[in-house]
Amino acid sequence: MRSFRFMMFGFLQLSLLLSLAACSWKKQEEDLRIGDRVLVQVPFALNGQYSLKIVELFTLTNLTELKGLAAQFLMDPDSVSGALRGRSPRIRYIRNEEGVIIPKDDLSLQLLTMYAHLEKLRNLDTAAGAEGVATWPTTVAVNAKYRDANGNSENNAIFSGKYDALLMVPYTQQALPVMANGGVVGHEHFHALFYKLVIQPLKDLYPEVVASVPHRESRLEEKFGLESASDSGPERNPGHTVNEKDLRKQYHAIVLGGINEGLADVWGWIFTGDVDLVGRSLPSEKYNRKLDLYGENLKLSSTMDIRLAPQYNKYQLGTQVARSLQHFAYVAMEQRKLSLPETRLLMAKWLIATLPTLREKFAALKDDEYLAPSEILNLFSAQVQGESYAECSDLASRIPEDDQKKLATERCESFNVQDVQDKS
Amino acid sequence: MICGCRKNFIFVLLVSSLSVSLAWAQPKTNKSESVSALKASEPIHFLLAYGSELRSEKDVNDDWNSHYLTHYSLGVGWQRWLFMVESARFTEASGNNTLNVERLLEDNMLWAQWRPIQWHQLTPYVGGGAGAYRETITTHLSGISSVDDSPWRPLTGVNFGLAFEPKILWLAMEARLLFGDQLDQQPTLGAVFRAGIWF
Repeated sequence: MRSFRFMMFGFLQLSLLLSLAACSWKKQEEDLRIGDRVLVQVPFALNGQYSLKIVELFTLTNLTELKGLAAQFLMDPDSVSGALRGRSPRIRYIRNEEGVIIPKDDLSLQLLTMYAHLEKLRNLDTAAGAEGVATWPTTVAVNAKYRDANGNSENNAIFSGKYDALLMVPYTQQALPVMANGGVVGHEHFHALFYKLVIQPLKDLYPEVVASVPHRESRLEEKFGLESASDSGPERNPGHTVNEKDLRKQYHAIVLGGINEGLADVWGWIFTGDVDLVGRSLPSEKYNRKLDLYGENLKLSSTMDIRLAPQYNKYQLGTQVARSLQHFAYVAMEQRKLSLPETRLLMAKWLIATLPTLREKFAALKDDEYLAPSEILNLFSAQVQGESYAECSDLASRIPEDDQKKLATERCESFNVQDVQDKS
Repeated sequence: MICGCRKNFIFVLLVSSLSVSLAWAQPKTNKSESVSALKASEPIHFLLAYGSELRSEKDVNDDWNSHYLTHYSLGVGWQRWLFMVESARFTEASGNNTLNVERLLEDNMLWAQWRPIQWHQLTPYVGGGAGAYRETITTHLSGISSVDDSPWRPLTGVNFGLAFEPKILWLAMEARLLFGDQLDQQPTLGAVFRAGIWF
């Protein structure tokens, strides 16, 4: 009898001691070193098709709080003294039998997916020659309370130059959440590159342009969190008389904003291969933003198209730019006999090389000059190494007649002569 | 960081000390009628019980989140002891039509409860348990699913509660702390309500 009692109390004591010991258990992923390999299963796009993939990460230092060289996440952040403040997430996950990290809930999955995308975007920056341009780790504000004229913004992502951060507002639709959409994450990351290479250096010259780029909504970003400082983005107001100088500023805000949006779409496609990167999360934008909906007659809006249209939408120009360059990529792929991933990497290099030239072109404009939207294609063309006649003429064909299409075409003719000489 | 549960350490130590001191106390022979020690000559009892547990975890935002688990228990009682094999599970789902995650948690534990006294058919108890748990995650992306299991991982716990045992009916409510390797919340808190038959 007494031995039975010993045994029973032994079990009780053992469980208590095990519980005490268990209090010191901790997840091994909380203390990682840069270079440690972590395998995660997340939605990832390969050549435009999303599926659940096992992705290798090497830059995490704390998996539970999702900290590392690629990103730092701030949950429900506030703006305090001009800086974002928020707590780190607590990622919930299991390790499966193979040691792969599997998130337990959709928000953990989305955050981990976004981290994976940002780590790969960091690699793409390096490969494209943009190492050190963007700030790493990227600050990502999750569930950002972002108010626009219609109330709290939803289903969007915004790059904020002021905070140097990606603001992810709540996603309420039934498609692929924005944080899990590598194309959109790539698009927003490109805005950071554009900001650092084009906008920020132009800040003193064109403060209004800065206020309106990269997104229309960014004029409202001062309202993000607590305080509103300035809201100086140019508005098109047909009933309001404005002088030529104001019109010119408005025009350039739209052109630069449109170019930024267009190149960002191309960057999202370069990163994922997904031609429907916006529509994948926002189905209502599927037709407006899909990159491969081009025809032979696709042309960019001309300078006059934009000057004369009071309600011209920069996204319209952006999609024209994106479709033109995406089409060009297929021409280049065929001309150079490359694979599509190889071509996309070349495109990334040429795009990055184009940005400083765009900035210089913009800064050199005289007081009465207007930058033609198609100038971005000329500047890009100038960065295409070993450009062939077919490549050059594909870009030239997108330039409207009244925006010096003739000049561009003549430039391509010189390539044609060169091509013929090379072949002979 | 260990787990920031200093208060829980103290609690566990208190429970542990209490159980030790009660365990080695000799049964008294002259208890009053209303508060009586369970008699050594009592026969073996069997228990079949169904229960529900409210278990609290912290979510990704570091906010408390509650889950309801279903419990099935089989027990054997003898003298001051009740041994119970318990199986519990719950599911949760999150996400939208395109990307969503389902989680199934299962745990199986053996509990030993020490029941020092009985008062008007009310029996307080303290106990400890050991077992294992496993989680199964099903991730859906655009209609394609991936199912992943964690290995069975050790789980231990301490509990205290009060049982009401009129005739064959058995009702109990208890609080518990669970400790497990790779648990998100260390310890995980639970409140259990159980009903069963006791014969």
